[in-house]
Amino acid sequence: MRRIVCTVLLWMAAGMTALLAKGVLAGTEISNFATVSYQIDGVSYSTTSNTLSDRVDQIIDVNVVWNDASPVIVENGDIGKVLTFKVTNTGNGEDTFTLLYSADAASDFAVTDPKIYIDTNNNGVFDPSIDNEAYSLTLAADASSAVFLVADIPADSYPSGSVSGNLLEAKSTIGGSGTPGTVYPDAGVDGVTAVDGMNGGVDKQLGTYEIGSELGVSLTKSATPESAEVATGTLIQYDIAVALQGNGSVENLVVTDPIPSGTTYVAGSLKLDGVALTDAEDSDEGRFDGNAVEVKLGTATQTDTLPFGRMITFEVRIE
Amino acid sequence: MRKGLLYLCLSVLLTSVMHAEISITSESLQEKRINKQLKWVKATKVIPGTKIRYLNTVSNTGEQAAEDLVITNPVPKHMQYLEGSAKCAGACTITYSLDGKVFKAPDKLFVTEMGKKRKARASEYKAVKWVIERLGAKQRSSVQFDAVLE
Repeated sequence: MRRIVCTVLLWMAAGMTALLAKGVLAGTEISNFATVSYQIDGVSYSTTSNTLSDRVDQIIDVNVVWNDASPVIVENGDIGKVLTFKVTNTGNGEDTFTLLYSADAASDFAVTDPKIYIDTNNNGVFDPSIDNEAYSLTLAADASSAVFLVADIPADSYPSGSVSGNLLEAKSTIGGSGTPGTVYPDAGVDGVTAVDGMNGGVDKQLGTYEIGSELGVSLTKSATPESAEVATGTLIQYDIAVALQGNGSVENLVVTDPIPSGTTYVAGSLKLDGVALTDAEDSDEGRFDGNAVEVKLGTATQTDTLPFGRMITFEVRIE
Repeated sequence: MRKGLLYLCLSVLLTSVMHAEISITSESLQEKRINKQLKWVKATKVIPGTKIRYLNTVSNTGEQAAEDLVITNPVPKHMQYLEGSAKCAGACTITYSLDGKVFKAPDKLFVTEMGKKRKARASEYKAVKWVIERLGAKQRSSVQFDAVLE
């Protein structure tokens, strides 16, 4: 008894595997024949049966996955933000799928002007000048394509952490009833019967945008004269403290400070975190261009555990 | 000389008449649920994962018994033979082949995989052979096996 049960389970498992994989292509001819040889009165003969020819019918199915690992971080008023999906023809024959956008009701905010683009050059990345806006996608059996949802974020003031859920649906144009096992006579490739597979020939997936935390850069400048009395020739040291408000990254952070009128920059006095920088434009972060000091800080990142802070100092002399 | 030629002609004629006395037909069936019962019906909806039963019927329409009937059926391309599914209506000996030429019992079929010899899996069988000792005049018999579409 136990053995029978095991055999049945194994068979089911084998069947499931075959259904999950692409399987033999729809329209393939499966032919069979048998031969028999025999003797009558010691004389040998043989004959061959008819040749059977069964054509493989078409399983219709599609799978949609959202390819961004986490919500795509956006800001209020952003234009053309991209969610990346992957659509796979999990059936065993070529099929054309209708691509449909819908907003998820559970969202904090709705995007505007959503458009769907197909990864025309097949590089997995949205290329606005190359990839085509399209609402139907033809895929061979087992083939897949990246599909991009491109939308604008309303110029509003949604707080950081607000999310917008957006659904991409792909639906077979041969079937796509949503009910596995629905049969479409003669509708498959080469006129074979088509049948909706395990997803019912339609699938959709949610992708989300999230308003990022607002990141601010603060500069705190202080002046320290060398003596209480400020007169011609007095040396003044300026300190500029650079900090970030909020967690995140700022790219290409450049701090520029013009030298106050009536003062002269003290050559070679520019420092970053106490380390001297040359006045020339070269490999170090700082320079003095004749009118202003400039320090390039590159990418500034702050987290709860790793605060960001830099100190720029330079000296001027009163004329 | 002329007599010999006549004899040859007769024997050719006789052979072709004899030949027609045994026929074999092949059918493909699949399971279908009819009134809550699974029944084997003519295969019409074949998708990957479908189990097909190949049923070969041998008929002896002649007046003489046929002996040593050897029926061979290559497992169709894209189909995987299902273990233990080969049967016959009466008494027979069933053997299997991995190359369509040499037929043996399942426990004598081996394949070499990455330098190691192992027992062949049923799904690797390429052909099935049934041997029936005798089929009497005006008798019919059948043999069958099941396979799954990849």
